[in-house]
Amino acid sequence: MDTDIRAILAEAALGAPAPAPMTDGMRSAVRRRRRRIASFAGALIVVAGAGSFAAVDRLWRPVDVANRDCGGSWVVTTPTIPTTSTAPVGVTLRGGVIAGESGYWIVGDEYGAGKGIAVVVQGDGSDWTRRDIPHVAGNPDGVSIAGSGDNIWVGGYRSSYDQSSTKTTVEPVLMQWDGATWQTVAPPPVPPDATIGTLAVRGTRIVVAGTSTVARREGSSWIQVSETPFLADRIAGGPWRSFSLPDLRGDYSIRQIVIGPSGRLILQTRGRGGAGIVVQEGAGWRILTPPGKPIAHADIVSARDIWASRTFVVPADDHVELLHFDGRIWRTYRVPAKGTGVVNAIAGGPGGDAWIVASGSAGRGLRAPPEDALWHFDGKHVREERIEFPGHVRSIASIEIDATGRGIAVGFGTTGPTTTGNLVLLRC
Amino acid sequence: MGITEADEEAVPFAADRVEALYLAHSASALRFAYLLTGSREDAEDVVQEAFLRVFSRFGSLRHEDAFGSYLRRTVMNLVQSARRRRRAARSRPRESELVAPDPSPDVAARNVVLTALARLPLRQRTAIVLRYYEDMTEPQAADVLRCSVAAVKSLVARAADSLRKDLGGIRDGH
Repeated sequence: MDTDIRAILAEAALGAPAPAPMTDGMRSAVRRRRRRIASFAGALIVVAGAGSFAAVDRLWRPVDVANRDCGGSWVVTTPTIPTTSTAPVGVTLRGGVIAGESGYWIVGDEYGAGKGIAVVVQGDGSDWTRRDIPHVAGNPDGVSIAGSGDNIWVGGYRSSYDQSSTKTTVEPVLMQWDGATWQTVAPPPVPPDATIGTLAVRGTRIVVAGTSTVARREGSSWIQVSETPFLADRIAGGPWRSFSLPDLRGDYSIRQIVIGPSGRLILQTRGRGGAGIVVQEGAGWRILTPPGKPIAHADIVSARDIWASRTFVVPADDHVELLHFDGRIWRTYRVPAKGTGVVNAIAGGPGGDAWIVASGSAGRGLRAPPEDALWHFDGKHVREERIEFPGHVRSIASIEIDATGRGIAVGFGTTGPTTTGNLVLLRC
Repeated sequence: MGITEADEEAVPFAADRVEALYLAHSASALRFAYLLTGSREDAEDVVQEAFLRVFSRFGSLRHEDAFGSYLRRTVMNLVQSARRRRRAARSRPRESELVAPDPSPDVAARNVVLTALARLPLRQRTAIVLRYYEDMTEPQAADVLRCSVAAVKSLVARAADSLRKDLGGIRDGH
């Protein structure tokens, strides 16, 4: 008799809204509330800087998944990343895949015994080597990565908690890989507590962006009131130059920097209302964000080649809208959602094609496990790609186009009914 | 208790852990909240507020297994608070506010179920959702509801009876 109730409830729950990624507004709200409560209760709280990733950490338990030929579908491998921990380790993907002449670079966090450290790994798809940046033991460090060849840079922040003063100190971190070790590079002159959120490299030029916290004194406590973005660059080891930034409504952070061939910058921003796109124009900025419903994700290839997506959750008509800007106008393409799909990542490829990743369910039933879907847009049609994996791949954090023009993505794969699984690498 | 407040030995929620927990639990929390509220919008509001409360109020998490239970308890409390506010605003909520109208014909049955759920007292509704949708054991459901296992059994039995009476024709064999 219980079966009928279970089935009825499962069907009813199909109308539930799809989960949306955590917004910067929500992150800020958490931080603000925690600071308020910390000042009141003296609770132990780490206030870490803004970082962007989209994945779920799970128990790290490598399993063998054979390489398969890629004939229009995606090959999934489970890289075995050396761990420094003897305890059960969870890996949180932060995304940040670089696919270049020096192989693949992936950044994330490794958790063992309740403590997190940043993980940077380099590999050729089969063998992986840790290239971790020096860190403060026991504290998670935010990391983003950029570069090509052996010219690899990471930026982020380092946080440390002082138990006696109950104060968390955050400082920006910038390092360059010289082919053998990481070299510390002085970050741009930014206020204390600033964090580097993203960076871009083109030749000898590096551009970094991040946020600094603006706080207000209230009684004996500092209350965070906003986060102010900063943007700076330097060329060939010269002095840092700071840029003035567009005055967008409300707080925002910079999620992606692209350095165009002429040197002008194109930025993807993330604010309370969703993602935005701005391009340098003379001494100012021009807003390229498409009109209408805010976009959820974007990928900037150049100022004349920008991809974006947004999700429409409509009863019986859930769908994803793929948008492309050709330098003149935005065009939209409709993508059928899988389950109630929410786009996680998007990558524009050469030749006017794009890959997008969305989370959804494997089948319509509510009990169907969550599973990501991969679509390829060839300029005319959208087609769902096959993911060859004897389980479910989900939480694909990042998708990029490698040096040969093929897609590469990192995600999380489960092979059983449990929620434990492994980091997976998808290539096509 | 898996979640500790102002516990100086436990590892505090870092920003990364906050995001990971949000991603791990947001979908199931939304479905749970949707079954309790019958409204997509209310479910989104409730779940967002529940996450904010859990992340901001508590400094750390010792046992990750406890997070889901605590989140659901917070969702249930928020749904109850929203109902109280509605009651204060007007004498009795209209059914159309509990179940958002959905124009598509294939979800008509879904709305019937949600309406039947909305007629149940909140604790009965929560109990049956925890047991038959979330697949929680009776002790786990009792932990969320802060009541005894016997009380869970009673709540679930009464809820199931009411649902079967209300939805007699929705499934074969009932």
